[in-house]
This record gives sequence, structure tokens and C-alpha cells, in this order.
Amino acid sequence: MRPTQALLALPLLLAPACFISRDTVNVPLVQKTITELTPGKTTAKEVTALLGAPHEVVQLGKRTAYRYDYTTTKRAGFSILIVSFLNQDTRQDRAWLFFDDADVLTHVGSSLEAEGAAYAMPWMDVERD
Amino acid sequence: MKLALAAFLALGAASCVSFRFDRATVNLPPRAGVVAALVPGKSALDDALAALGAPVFVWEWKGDGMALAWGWSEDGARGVTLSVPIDQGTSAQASYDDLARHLRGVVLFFDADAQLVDAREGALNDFRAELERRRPAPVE
Repeated sequence: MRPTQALLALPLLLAPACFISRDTVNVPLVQKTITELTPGKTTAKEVTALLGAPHEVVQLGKRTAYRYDYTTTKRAGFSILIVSFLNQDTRQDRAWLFFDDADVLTHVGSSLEAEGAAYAMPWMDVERD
Repeated sequence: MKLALAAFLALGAASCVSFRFDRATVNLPPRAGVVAALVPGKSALDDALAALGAPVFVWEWKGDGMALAWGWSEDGARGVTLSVPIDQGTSAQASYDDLARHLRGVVLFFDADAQLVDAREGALNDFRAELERRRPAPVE
């Protein structure tokens, strides 16, 4: 095999060893929808009408808290024969909504970071937004 | 001939034995000083939610109180891996819990008036074992 042919064959041999993938759980949370929720006014019934069924309900004495979440994981890697490099970056959108004993919203906490998940290599920095 | 045999063995072994350089990141820690700025006896639930965003876990604590946990991790690994691919399906709830299993972070404890009374750091799974109590709650 000539050197030129070998050089052309090399990328073809190594290309199948590279991959990227993305996993998601649930659907992304929407900032606009969350900002529509008003502590002291919005009720649990209105929340479920807007956001659907919560993914978890936690009882806090006579009060409750609802969790909504979305998770995305981005993986990137490559292998050279038996050596492989893999990076996995997982970020979440989360919202916790706290209700009083009358099912009226009292507090809202939200973090929308799933979009910041990055494809990277193990030696690269994964940065915050 | 020997070279061909070596190449064949290397290619065959690559499907189940490999030297791996892995890193897995879950969420990112808060910026320096954010947690320290939340002071028991002074800060409230609103302050914590504004500073740290939504927690990963919320647990009931001492009746009308609550414990909120924020967590993150960055794990790096190098080594030899022997793997046998097996198809695996999980529920969304199992996935969320599994994800949080290896997180370290901070847990803030609030009283019935939503005032911060304590802050502790550690592995969230240890706090889960201590604090989690599941019981059904009505959803209309």
C-alpha cells in the first residue's frame, strides 16, 4: 500500500470510533411559564393546568412541594483501538413549587441549566452559561 | 504474520476490554461565596432559592420544617474496563434518583416559618437515607 493510500485509509478506519450522543428525560421547562406563577395567588390546581402533573410531590407537614424537571446528558468520545476517551455532561432544568396548607403557591425555585450541557473531551473545561 | 495476529487480537479485544479516560459532570457548583452568604438565623427560603436556584431534593424535616438539597459532581476515571453491553431500560424517576446518588453538595434546613436554621455539606445520598420519607399527597 502506498503512503498516500494509507493516509486516506487512516481517517476511514478511525472515523467509526468517534461518537456523540444525547439523552433526555422529560421535556424542557419554559421560563415564561414559570414566571407566570405568582406566589400568594397561583393555586396548585392552576399550576397543574399550566405545567401538567408534577414529577414528584413531597409532603411538608400540612404543606406540599411539587418538582418538575428535565435532564439532558451529552456524551462525546472516541476510541483508538483499545484506548477510549469519554466525556459526559449532565445538566438539568428544575423547578420546585411550594404550597401552603390551602394549596396556594408560596415559593418558587427554578434553575434552567439543561441547555448548557456541552459535548467535550475529558481534558476540556465545561463552562457554565 | 505475528503483526496481523497482534492487530486481530487488539481489534477483537477493543469490543470488551479498553483503557478508558472518562469524565462525568453533573450540574455545576454554585459560584464561590454563594453558599457562605446564606446565614442561619438571618437568611430565609426565598434567599436560598434566589441564590442557588431550585434544589435537587426537598425533604420534610421536623414536622413543619423542610430540608433542601443542592448537589453537583465531577468524576474523572482512568483505568482498564471490561464491559459486556446489556440493554437497560429505566423509569424517569429511577433515572432522577440514580443521577442524584453520587452528588455532593449542601443541605439547608428551614423551620416552619421558612427561616434558615442550619446548613450542612456532604454526600446527598447520606442525607437521603436520613431524611427521606415518602408518603402519598393529594393532587387535584
